Amino acid sequence: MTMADLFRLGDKEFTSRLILGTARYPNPQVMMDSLRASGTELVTVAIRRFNLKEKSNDVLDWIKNEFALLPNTAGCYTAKEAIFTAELAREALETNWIKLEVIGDDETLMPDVVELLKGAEELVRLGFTVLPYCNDDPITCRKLADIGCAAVMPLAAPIGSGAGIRNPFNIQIIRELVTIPVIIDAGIGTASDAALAMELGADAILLNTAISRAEHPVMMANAMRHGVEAGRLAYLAGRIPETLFAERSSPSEGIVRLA
Amino acid sequence: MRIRLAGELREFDEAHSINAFLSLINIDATKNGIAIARNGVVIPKAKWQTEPLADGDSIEIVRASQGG
Repeated sequence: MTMADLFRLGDKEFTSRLILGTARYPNPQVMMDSLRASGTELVTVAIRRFNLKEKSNDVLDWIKNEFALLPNTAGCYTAKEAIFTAELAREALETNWIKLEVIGDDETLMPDVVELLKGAEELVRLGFTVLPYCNDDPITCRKLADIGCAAVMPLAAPIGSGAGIRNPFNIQIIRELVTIPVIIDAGIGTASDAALAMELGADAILLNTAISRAEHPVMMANAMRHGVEAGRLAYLAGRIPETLFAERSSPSEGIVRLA
Repeated sequence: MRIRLAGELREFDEAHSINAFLSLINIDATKNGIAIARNGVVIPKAKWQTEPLADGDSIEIVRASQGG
């Protein structure tokens, strides 16, 4: 018996619960091979100034229509910049989906909550499907949900750090507080991090560097696919409670004793 | 005419529309995946033929790039 476990996000449905970034791969072919190996159906892209000297280097020439696109507002420091970038993305890519990223500084790349909330509110008002990269802060997540975001995307650890889930308790609280999808975005280092995030109740994982900078990106993409699937299944299966002492699994009756 | 392209003020031949300006700088206006803003306002593709340019305008041309 199999039951479709579809991931509903905005007005779309996905079979994969892995969203991948397209940056920092050794080359575009490895990127494509990794995206395919991961099973992803949705990939993020940045919006950048057209480089008049390097016209041929176009990520869309590689991605074509193979994956749905999620443009981001990476590099924006204010709500105003992020809204402008989102409007450009909507025009360029003909999607109203936006990964809203409003950071506070270059060292931590952590979200500026005040600007993030302001940007989210305006973008929802403008009809965007807003997917905000946010702190693992339950109250911020609840506010983003109340504003009308399509998901919340709390970080596990700083972007690109590969440090794993620094605060699993907050992720669980966030899962309890909001009814919209929770997507763990940033900080995943390896497949067990992805599995743990899913076991904690995340609906999906968004990652980039853990695959693109792995020694063997395509192999890691495959590992992440399995990690996400394993974690999701374990979450749905319902794990046993933890106990301090042992609980024997073999019967205690009929144990052979020496006379 | 002077146009501030990607933040840099430069001298260009006269161009009376966005489309004309794009052909000046050898960008194929029919290519997908490009967005343009004039003085901070996004100009829909359908208006590139008619949207006028004026001396001193600021133009941003963007497209998707690899990102996370």
